[in-house]
Amino acid sequence: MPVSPDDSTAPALSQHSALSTVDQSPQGNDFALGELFQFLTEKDVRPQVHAVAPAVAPTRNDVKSALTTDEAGERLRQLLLDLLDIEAQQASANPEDSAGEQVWQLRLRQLERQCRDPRVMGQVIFPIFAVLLQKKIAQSPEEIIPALALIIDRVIETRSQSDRTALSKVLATTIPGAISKQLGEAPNEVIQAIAPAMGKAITEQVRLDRDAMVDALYPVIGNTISKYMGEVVSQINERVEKTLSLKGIMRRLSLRWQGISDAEQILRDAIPFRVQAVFLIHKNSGLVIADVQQSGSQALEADMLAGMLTAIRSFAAECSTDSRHQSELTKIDYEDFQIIMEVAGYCYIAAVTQGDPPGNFSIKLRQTLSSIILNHGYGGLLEQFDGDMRRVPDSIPQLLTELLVAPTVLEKPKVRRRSLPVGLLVLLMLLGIPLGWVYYRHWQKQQVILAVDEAMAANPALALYAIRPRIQGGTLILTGKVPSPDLREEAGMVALEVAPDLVLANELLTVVAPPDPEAIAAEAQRLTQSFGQMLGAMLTSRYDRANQQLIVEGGAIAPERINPLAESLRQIPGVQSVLLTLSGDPSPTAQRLYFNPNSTIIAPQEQTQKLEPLVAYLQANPNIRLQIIGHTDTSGTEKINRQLAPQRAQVVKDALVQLGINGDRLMVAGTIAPPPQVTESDALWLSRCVRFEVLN
Amino acid sequence: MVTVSKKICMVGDFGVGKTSLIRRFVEREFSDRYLSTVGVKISRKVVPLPPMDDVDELKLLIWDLEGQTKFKAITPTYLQGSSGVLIVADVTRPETIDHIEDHLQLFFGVNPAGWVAIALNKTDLLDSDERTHVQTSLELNRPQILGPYLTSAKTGDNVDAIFTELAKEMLA
Repeated sequence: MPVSPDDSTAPALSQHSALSTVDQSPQGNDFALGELFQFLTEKDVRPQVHAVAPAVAPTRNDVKSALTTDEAGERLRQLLLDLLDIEAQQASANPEDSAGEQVWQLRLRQLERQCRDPRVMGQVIFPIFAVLLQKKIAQSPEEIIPALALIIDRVIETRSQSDRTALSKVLATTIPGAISKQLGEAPNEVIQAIAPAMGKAITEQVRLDRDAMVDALYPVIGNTISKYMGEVVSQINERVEKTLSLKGIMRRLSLRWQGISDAEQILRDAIPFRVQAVFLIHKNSGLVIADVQQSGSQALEADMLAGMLTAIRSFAAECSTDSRHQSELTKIDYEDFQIIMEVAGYCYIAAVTQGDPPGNFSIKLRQTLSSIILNHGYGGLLEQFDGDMRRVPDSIPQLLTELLVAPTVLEKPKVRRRSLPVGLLVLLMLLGIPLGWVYYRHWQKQQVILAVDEAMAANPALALYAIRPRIQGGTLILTGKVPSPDLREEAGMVALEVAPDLVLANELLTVVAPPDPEAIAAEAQRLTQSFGQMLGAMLTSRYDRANQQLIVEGGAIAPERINPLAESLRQIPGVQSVLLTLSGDPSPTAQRLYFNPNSTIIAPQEQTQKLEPLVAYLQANPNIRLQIIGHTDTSGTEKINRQLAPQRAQVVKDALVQLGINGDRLMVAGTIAPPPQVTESDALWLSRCVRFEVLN
Repeated sequence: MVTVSKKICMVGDFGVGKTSLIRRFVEREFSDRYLSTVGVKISRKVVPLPPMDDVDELKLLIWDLEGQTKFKAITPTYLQGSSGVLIVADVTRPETIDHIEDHLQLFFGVNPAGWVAIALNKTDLLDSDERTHVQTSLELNRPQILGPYLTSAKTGDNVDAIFTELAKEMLA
């Protein structure tokens, strides 16, 4: 075969192409040529390669389908024939070396080589390869596994490079199961493997299909948000309820004055203010003088925080453009917490807080810092603080703890307390003044009414009757019932005397009550006896019911002396008239001298009104002799009374003797029995007497 | 347990090894990477004290100040309240040693009663003859000044010593 010089590079180029076509060639001849080429290559017979290559090259594009068993056998046969042809040509080229044995030996060697050639052998055993493999796997799988294990990764890799889709399709069914299994057995590994990509994966998914992502997360996020909002709303409700209380209203008013809206305040309340930590820091060095922190929360690095804060403060001070005016950093604001600072000369307080700080807090900070400076500033502790914690008194952390525990309760609660009572006081005054005025007026009226009542009770004629005074406006009204117009008038008079400033409305009714005869009789009897005792005469009275007439009987009494009695008796309700039936001209000997209890002294009026007329009577009738009989009442012991009775008679005899009567005409006697016409039911004074009996 | 806190500052030109000295002292580490300090960095090291007096331990708060460059001076405010200062120079850069005097004046201007330790750093880069020469060439016979110490943050030479000596003087 001719080889053109232009094709000098072609064999090298086509060498691999030819190789790759071999097992795919449908043409028996082409295949044989390929096999031969392979064989020659291994034999390193360059010239022959050059010789066959041009013939091979054109066929490579015709390669298409797989081999069949028949074809393989046919090719092997063809190959052997070809080889024989070559041997024949070689033999004819060298006639002197034409020994047949050599040819056959050569052929045998060729066959041996063919048997060792895996490609050829492979083609030979190909039809039964699957059966062999199955048999081998069934017999001893452990031998197959290591053999395959070495290349299995490369197999997959190669396959994935050549046909990714097909491999994906194959693996697709197993991967989910594999992951599930691994999640069960070693979840951490899966999590760690997936975690780094989660964020990006979600971001990518959101970019690709936002709606799907929203739908996916909605049930979770929706619930979370609604739960959170539910809590906020319930807190807000609570606040609103509180806001509607009196305290709340006062607070709202005060907030209004500060210009804080309700919504702002409610939100402020919903996110509670909390002081996490408080530091007292030396201003120059940034060393911590004292620090207190909420227990429970993660402790802050006081030293580092104080140092950095101080550095930041220094930095800020350096950056301040106006060097004459030293400005202070008072607040560092983060999204969810802030550091509030209150600065004094040598130290400052830094409070780490959460939530919106109430206005009171800055006041409280200032108060705390002031107390620290006032209590400890003069000793130079703060100015010359050198990091020695032993010099820091316990009171400083205590003061700082106050900020932690009660950040909004001011040091002087009096101020606050006072402000509340002022409001209450005003309220009380507003309500109290009219109320007090009403009460005062009521009290005043009551006083007048009481005075009227007392005046009525003091008047014996009115005391008996239920007269009810009341005051309406400026009018004193008297209601009730009295038995006579006179009493009605009198009641009016009495009332006006007590309350001269009031207009009187006398609404008393004059009612003539049906007289009670017994009451009239008793009243008449009482009056009569009183008068009788006063006049030294024995008087009795009785009530004539039919004529409504009082009949008074008794000893002789001068009409001018008895008239007041008659007048009084006539005043008794139910008494229309009084009939006095007194003995006309009483005999002086019929008189009785009355004594005070346990007494033997003759009263002066008895002396003049009774003894002196008796003396005159005795002097005018010198023949009359008198028996003087002394009596006692039933009180006292009988022994004393027995002595007392004759003594009284003796006293009267002595008095008569002294007035000029001869003692012989006078006899003395005494008895403890009551005098005639006096019974035990009569008044006692009627028995304490001396009476006379004329002796013939 | 009685603890006393003290603030000290690291002062020197840029790149002399202030931050490296602190890293060696506090974290026991060294890195060749140069990281420029911006502003201030604060570190803390608790130094246990021998049971000599009633103080059990000293808490050092070390302010690592941004190195001085010709464009930017050290902020004196940062030096306030500092009981001591560690002035650092780089033995391989003579101008940084020249600047020690300026740093001294700056520090004593703010803290007249403070203590100073001088560190001549990066001595691992010198041979022994050069070291002796450097150490003797610096004349600093003044009270309240310790050193100069030949230090190396890389090898750790004299690092603990310089901090400890400064701490002792500050407590005394």
